[in-house]
Amino acid sequence: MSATKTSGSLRRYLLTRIALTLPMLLILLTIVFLLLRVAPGDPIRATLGDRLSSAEIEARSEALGFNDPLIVQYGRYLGGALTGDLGNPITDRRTTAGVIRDTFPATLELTLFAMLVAITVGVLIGAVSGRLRDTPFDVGGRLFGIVIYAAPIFWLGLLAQLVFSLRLGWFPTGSRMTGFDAPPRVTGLQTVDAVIALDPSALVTAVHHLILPGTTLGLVIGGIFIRLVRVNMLQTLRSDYVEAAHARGVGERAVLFRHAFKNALVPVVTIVGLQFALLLGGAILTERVFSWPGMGTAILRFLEARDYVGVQGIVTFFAIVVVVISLIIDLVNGLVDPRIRY
Amino acid sequence: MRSKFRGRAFAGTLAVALALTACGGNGDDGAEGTDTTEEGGNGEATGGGGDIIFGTTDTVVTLDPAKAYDFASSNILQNVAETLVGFPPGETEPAPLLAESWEVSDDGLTYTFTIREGVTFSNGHELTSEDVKFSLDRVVQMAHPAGAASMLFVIDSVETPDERTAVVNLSAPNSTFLARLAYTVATIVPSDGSYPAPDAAINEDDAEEAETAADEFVQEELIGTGRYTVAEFREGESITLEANPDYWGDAPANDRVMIRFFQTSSQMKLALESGEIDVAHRDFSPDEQADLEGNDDVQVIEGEGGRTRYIVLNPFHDEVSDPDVRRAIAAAIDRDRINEDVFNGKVEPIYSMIPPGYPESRPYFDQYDDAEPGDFIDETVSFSLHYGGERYGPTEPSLVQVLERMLEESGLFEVELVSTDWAQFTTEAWPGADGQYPVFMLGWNPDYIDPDTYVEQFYWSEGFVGSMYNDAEMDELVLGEQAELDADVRTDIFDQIQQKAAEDVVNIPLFQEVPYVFARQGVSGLEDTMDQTLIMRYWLVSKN
Repeated sequence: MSATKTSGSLRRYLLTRIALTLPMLLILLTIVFLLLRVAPGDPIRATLGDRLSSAEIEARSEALGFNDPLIVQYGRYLGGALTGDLGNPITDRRTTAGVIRDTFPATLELTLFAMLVAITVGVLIGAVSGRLRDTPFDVGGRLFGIVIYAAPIFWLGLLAQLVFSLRLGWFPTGSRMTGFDAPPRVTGLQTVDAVIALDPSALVTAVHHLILPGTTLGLVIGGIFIRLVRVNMLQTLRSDYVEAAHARGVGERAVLFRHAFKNALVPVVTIVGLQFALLLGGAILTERVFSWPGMGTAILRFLEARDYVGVQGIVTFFAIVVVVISLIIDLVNGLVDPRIRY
Repeated sequence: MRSKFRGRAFAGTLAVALALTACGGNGDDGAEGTDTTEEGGNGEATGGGGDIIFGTTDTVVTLDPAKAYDFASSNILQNVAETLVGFPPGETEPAPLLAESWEVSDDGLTYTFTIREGVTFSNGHELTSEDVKFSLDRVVQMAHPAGAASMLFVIDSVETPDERTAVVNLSAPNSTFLARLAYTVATIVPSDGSYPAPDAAINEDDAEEAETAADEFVQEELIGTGRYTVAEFREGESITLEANPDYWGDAPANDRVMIRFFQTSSQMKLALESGEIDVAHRDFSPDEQADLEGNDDVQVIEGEGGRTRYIVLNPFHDEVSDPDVRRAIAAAIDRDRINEDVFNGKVEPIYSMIPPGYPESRPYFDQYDDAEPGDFIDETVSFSLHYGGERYGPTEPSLVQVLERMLEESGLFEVELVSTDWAQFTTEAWPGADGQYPVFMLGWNPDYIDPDTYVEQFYWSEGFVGSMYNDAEMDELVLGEQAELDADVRTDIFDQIQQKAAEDVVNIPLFQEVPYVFARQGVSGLEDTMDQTLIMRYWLVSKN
């Protein structure tokens, strides 16, 4: 295939994939809308039902538009979702967009750190396990991956707090800051804001607070990656092109890093991306244990208060984030793997 | 070669990163005190007591005095803004604050305040009598349903003959008026346009509409004359106060105060034990308290006059509209059992809404200790018992479960427990006819030092809980004790109020908590602020 034809095929793939994002987003938002509408009880009753008279429920439903035809509600919902108007929670002074603006950076920062830990641990152990198959390291690595993934994350978090915070005093028990070191908010990511403010002390504090919750969460996710990387590594090492490389006299290290390892990571990239998207929805248990003021904490608070509007707004935002990340993953895969085309 | 370099560069970066984080320390980082003192705007020394970090499971609902009526919000207001009069630590009589003196007319209807000179708000606006008029009028006109505007119902008008004189005319004599002015509802805010205010009183019959209308004028950027300014408010996380260098009076004993909000008391306990916070105030479970009392790094300071807890029964709801049903509920309550099963014996059962610390208190509810529910009703009654989650602490679920059990053990009640987020709870529970809950749990911190604070809001038909009562005879009694200047006559009226309250059973007093605050060793000043007012005066607290 000529270079021109290859780049045209790639261009077509990229453009097609981008064009498919909008219908994908519309379908996802429609599903979110319908799921919340077909749940038993209407939104007002779901939030306030046993505490209001029928007349009051009718009045509030009318005021919030829940008595309008479904298609009208749908149009209003879509318009709001696409313009950033995600409604006003019943139990918070801020708009849903305001809640997300305040809490999403915390979740993003935790997620990025956790993914860094997960990828480092998962890829390292998984790759070495795959290379040293059936050795004590391999057995240990697999066992570690299973145990760490199976352990309840809230239990791990509490254990980490008791040992590393209370007993050893190495790390804070939770939250994003203890003292007055928080840098001026620019992005909401305290590590980035600290760099912007040229404040190394704040950077240290921000990272210091990230380590315990981020490592706890990252290790659990890393448990998935260990097994995935290991399996892909084994398959790649058994492949024809690796055997051919050996036959050509390519050195062991070159075979491992230039051929096997890179190709073993291709399917992992997709999983990493999807896992990243899932974490962005808010690692609720981790955030709860570590008092981390992220979106997980926010949605949990809305759920406990049965604040339907708040829940819907955050779920809608999350749906949009997942679509965007899926797009990025598919574009990257298309660039990396020439076999991925429409 | 290239891959070797990359590997070494990565390893080096990781090593540096780990080294940096290992240098970060734990817990106390960023909360170091300073020993330097600086001259403040009024020539007084500032700071020197370090930065203090408080922890609480309370939530700040609002920073607008017209809307604030919960402990956490009011406490911030007490520290950042000021009123005409206040209660100095340990005192039970109102003392000058923004008013340096006052005169009361012989008929008790006119209060003439001389406004203190040289006071500025945190936005630079100079305090005058116009600000006093604006602030009081604003609260009364907004009449925010979630706020405490009803405490100022007795104000008829405010006049400002000159910049330093504010004349408050009352519609009737009120022996508690000065004490009420010390509460945050009477906080003085600037009249320079920083705070929106309605042109006329908001008079919506429907509470929902009244709240919506009043919310349009709510201002969450707190501008006050107090010892602190709000440096930062991270909703759900923390609020940071900085010492006000231009404060007119004595400077705080510390430079900055941060109040961190915890979702659970267990998290707060961990933070206190690890030294991440210096002080933990409201609320620990009895087990957590016991554990902390055994911790050598933690000191326990006991206070006076704690919060009272009670059940409200709304007669506007059919389930409890019959007084006999309400009496039967009262007869099912075993306060000693609550004390032992839920609080490990650490609370004091009370038999009147006026707690035993007041000489006017009469335990008329003890008549139900010798009665059974079956003495009042013979058919099963079903109702929902509502509570605001862990608003009053982690023991709340246990408390309502014990109440449910006691009621259902009688065989005459079927109870459904319903938990609601506090912010929502406050908009739904009251007032009276619009209140959505037939039976609900509440707690009460006194607004001022006077038995009236335990009476007005509960038995006067325009009080937020008294709106359930709606009894003309009781209204007359309540207004009578407020207008009565003779102490003995007033005590007799309180007696009548408590007697009638025990017969009508719209509220059932349960117990009074003993207030505690837990702090790291080396923190001082807390014992000075743990008085009957329950105000946490951050400015008294310092750290060695």
